Amino acid sequence: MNKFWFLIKNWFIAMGSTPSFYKWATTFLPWLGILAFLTFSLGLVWGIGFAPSDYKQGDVYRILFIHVPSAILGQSIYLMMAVFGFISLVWRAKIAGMLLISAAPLGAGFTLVALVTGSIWGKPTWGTWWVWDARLTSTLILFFLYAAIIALHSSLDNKTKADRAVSILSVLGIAIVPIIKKSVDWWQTLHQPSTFSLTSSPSMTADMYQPLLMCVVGFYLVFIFMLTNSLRAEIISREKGRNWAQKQFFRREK
Amino acid sequence: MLETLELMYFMDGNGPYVWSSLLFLLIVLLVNTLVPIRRMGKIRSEKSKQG
Repeated sequence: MNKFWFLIKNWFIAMGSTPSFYKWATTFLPWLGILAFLTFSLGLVWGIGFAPSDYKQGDVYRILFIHVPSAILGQSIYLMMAVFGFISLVWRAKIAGMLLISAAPLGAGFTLVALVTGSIWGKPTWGTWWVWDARLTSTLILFFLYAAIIALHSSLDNKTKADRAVSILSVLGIAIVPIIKKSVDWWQTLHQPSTFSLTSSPSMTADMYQPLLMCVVGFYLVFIFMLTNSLRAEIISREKGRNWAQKQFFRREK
Repeated sequence: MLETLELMYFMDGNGPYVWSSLLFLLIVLLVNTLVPIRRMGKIRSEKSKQG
């Protein structure tokens, strides 16, 4: 058991080094892509094509299989970015800053999907595309936070300073996540209560809940794939002048 | 379960809502996947121009 933890610890230490991460990512990215694509597709086909219709909402509820995983990802990516921001500020780990900025467009993308699909779902069920309700407004603020992080990072030429600045912003902005999560409990909203809860059993039947869980796993795998892909580009963009990058990235031309 | 492709496409008039949501998701995922690949391609082509 001790040997196992020793190996895990060493793997994490190795992944903190950009050349090791790049080499690992280049090997595993295609396999990760295949696994992510299969799980993601299976979840969506199961949910949209084979799950039963809802007795109240009919088939429009199937947007749930896109909306809920996107919303979960939008919030958890921000949480992850705040952790990377903290690591970057405290331990000055270069890769933490790179991970943070690579994850930001992905988080913004998932949050935007949650907002747009929520709006599309709102039209047939609530009769309106948008209401300034607590859950929707706080999610919109999260999207603006992502946009602010991306804009701040690209406005600074010195990447070390840029990493520091966005780390501070991501750590400070973390307050938005519990606000989004609890908004349906704290305020009167049109939005339904959370679909996933750690403290209570699911409010839907197993034949709806299982494909939803599959979608959530698929979306997470797609995110890990896209983050690895994006981080490779960030590493190469910053370290293209280094010897290891010349050997590993530009070797095809030699 | 939706028995036929036609039922699945129209979904009792809700098809446009569901399919447009899926299309939007796929566009966002595709853009987020292609942008880093293009970025790496650009770095590679700049390097090959420099010789």
